Amino acid sequence: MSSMNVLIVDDEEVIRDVCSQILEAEGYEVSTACNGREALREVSENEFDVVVTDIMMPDMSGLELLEVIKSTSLDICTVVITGLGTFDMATQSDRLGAREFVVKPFTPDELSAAVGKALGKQKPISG
Amino acid sequence: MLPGILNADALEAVKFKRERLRGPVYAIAGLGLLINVIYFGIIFATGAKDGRAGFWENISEHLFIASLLIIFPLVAFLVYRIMAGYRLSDYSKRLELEMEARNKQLLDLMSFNENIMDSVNDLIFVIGSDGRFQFVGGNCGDILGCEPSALVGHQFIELVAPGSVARAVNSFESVLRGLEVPPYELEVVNDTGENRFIEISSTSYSDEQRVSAQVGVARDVTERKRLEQHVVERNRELAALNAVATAVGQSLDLDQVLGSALDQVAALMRVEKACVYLYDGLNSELELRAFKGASASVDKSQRIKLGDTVLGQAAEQRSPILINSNDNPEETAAIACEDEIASVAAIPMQYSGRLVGVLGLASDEAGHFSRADIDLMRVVSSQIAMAMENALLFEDSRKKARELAERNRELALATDELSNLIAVAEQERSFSVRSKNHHLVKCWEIKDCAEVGCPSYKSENRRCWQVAGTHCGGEVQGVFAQKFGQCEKCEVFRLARPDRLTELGEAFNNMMAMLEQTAEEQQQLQEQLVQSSKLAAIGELAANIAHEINNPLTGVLGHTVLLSRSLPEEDPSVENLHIIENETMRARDIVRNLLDFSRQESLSMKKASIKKIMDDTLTLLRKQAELANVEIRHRYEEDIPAVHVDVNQMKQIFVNILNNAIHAMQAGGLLTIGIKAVKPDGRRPWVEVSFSDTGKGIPPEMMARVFDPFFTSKDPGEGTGLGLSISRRIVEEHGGSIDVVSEVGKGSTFTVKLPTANITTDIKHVA
Repeated sequence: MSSMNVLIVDDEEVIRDVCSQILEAEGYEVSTACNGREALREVSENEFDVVVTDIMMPDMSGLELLEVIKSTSLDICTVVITGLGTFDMATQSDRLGAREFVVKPFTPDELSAAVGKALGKQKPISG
Repeated sequence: MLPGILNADALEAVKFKRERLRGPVYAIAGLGLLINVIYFGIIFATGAKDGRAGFWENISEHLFIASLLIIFPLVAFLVYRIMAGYRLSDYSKRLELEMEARNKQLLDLMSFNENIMDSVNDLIFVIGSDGRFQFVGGNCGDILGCEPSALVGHQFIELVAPGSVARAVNSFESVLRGLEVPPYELEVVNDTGENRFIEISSTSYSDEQRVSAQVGVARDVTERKRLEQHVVERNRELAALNAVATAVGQSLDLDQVLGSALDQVAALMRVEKACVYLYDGLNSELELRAFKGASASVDKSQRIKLGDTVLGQAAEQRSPILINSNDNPEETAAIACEDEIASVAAIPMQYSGRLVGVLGLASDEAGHFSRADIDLMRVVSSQIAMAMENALLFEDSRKKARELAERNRELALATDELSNLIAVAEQERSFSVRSKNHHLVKCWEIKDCAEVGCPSYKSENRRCWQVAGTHCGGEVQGVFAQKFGQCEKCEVFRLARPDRLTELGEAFNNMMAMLEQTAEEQQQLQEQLVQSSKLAAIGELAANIAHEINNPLTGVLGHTVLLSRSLPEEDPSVENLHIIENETMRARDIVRNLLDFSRQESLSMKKASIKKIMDDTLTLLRKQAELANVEIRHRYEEDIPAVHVDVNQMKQIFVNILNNAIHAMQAGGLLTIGIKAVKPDGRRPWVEVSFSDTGKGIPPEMMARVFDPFFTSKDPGEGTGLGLSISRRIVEEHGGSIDVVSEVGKGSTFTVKLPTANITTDIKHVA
């Protein structure tokens, strides 16, 4: 079984970097994007199993990204990482199809557990 | 025509008419004389012619003629006698008739007299010049109580009462001297020993030009005399009454009224000592108010119990008491003090059937008072009582008028004070002004309390019903508005304001206190509002900061963990990296807590077991409790119904409360957690979760603020003061409530009430 492809979307390089390191250490193939628009381009050009995205980003927010991904027939799991861990945010993400919701700052274990759980979950049959 | 009195006609009829018979008799005798004269004249004339011879020749003739001189008067006398005899028999017959008539008249007269004697009411008497009764008739029995015959021969003076003897003798002698004596009155003693008054009209009776007796009529005037005496008595009473009424009516001053009344009464009754005691109905006592003639050492504050001494007895019985020989000086001491007295009269003074006082009179003379005196005094005393009543009424009305004036003055002062205070309040835009209200009785005076710690104790301006936290046990506490309704029922509230003015002043003060408190509350609300907006701003800021901080923290945390993993375990940097990791985690917690408070999010409600939530929460805190040496006990009821809650938020609440409890028992203690179901009739059932600690408790003044945001009793850095505030918000969002009871030094109990699951479906769910 080939390794899973993960796209990290965050406007902060440090976050992209640390996430890449964590998930690469877990054996994932990691790509990064610095905003929603870029992420969409990545998603449309390459195949990804998981998109790990921040919410508050310039140009295109994580929620918009989730919405677009949800609206396509792409078979991609989404995991939200956010510094604004409010319940509202969590429920909105949930509504937009996010499998997991991880509040920054997180430990490497928390992130990998969330990605693992997201992938392990059954993807709902999309219309 | 009265019997026995002859009329003029009858007298004429029986009169002998001698002069009628005398005429014919004298005529016959004269005729004889005339015949003789004529004859002898002729004889002598013719004789001269014939001489003497002739004369002698016819001597027989001459003698015959001459005899006529005798015969004729004789015949006339005879005729007269015959006539007279006839007339005499006629006269004697008439006389007989006359006698008969007169006899009849006499009998009638006697019968008439007897009738008069029998029927007359008066006594008719004849007394001889020796003063003895010669005749007694008329109504002797009723007047003198004896038969008339029993008196005849007795000296009239024997009947006369001693007081009338002189007059009787004078009048009797005057009559005997033939003087006119007008009717006069005598007092007599009759056979039964009864005194009676008679009026005598008498006149002298003369015999052979000498007054030998007096005839008189005696009339019984006892009744008239009695009436006269009664009238005199009445007049005396009226005069006395008039005098007393005039005297007492001249003043409305009670002491003057009583003074002049006593003067009048003493003069009227001829007594030396008199006094008036007023009746004090409240204490059933008599109080000395005025006296006259008593020695100067008299105790003016003397009081007599009803029923004690003569005065007290008279007052109690409402009837006069008369003692005419003083056998018991104790009894009469109240009137005469130490002086010796012989007669005492105590007359209750009543007006409109009400006892006003007692009038006491005393005299040195034994038997001084008569029944009539007492009757008079009774009338006089009621007159005095009326005057006293008037004087008392006047005194009362004068007192009331004075009181009214005083009240008006006080009212004016109070009104001035209050309007000044209102002006000050207006000017300074402050409700802190208070009426001084000097008459206010302080609660600690009423209660005789010495609660030094009580906010009301010895405070001039803080009335106990206006301030929270007073020490009166069991009483409702809280702010003015909460306390006032209850405090109004408290005796302190009533006793503190002894009069209307104080009430007015306090009403103003209460109004001001209430306004002040309302203003304070308004101020607080405003502050809270500001606080809320501040909080909202902080929330927003926190969210931004969280976001901004969380990103670098993510980098720090991630890299630290990655770095420590990449190093061998024995590398000395690993420990430092762990410190960085932990500190980053702490920073994360702080940011999360801040976010928790600013978070305004929907609830994730689901049916859950409160016991399970509690147990899950306790597993998190058990270690902390052990460290603090706090023992945790459970008192869970069986069959607790499920609740509809956001489990995580419930946990957050429980953690907050448990944290506080453990913090309050830093020296160790017992934490009792109770869970029970409450199923009231007709109301929503709920589940009650209680946390009772044995910590230091919450002071009363802090009680109202424990749920306020940022309120904390912990040291700086130990708590944000947001825990209970968030907890309350969450519980209320669940349709429940949270409250606390606490006692300083004993501990606090927080109780969370949550509706059971089946009826909370109306709570908004997260989509």
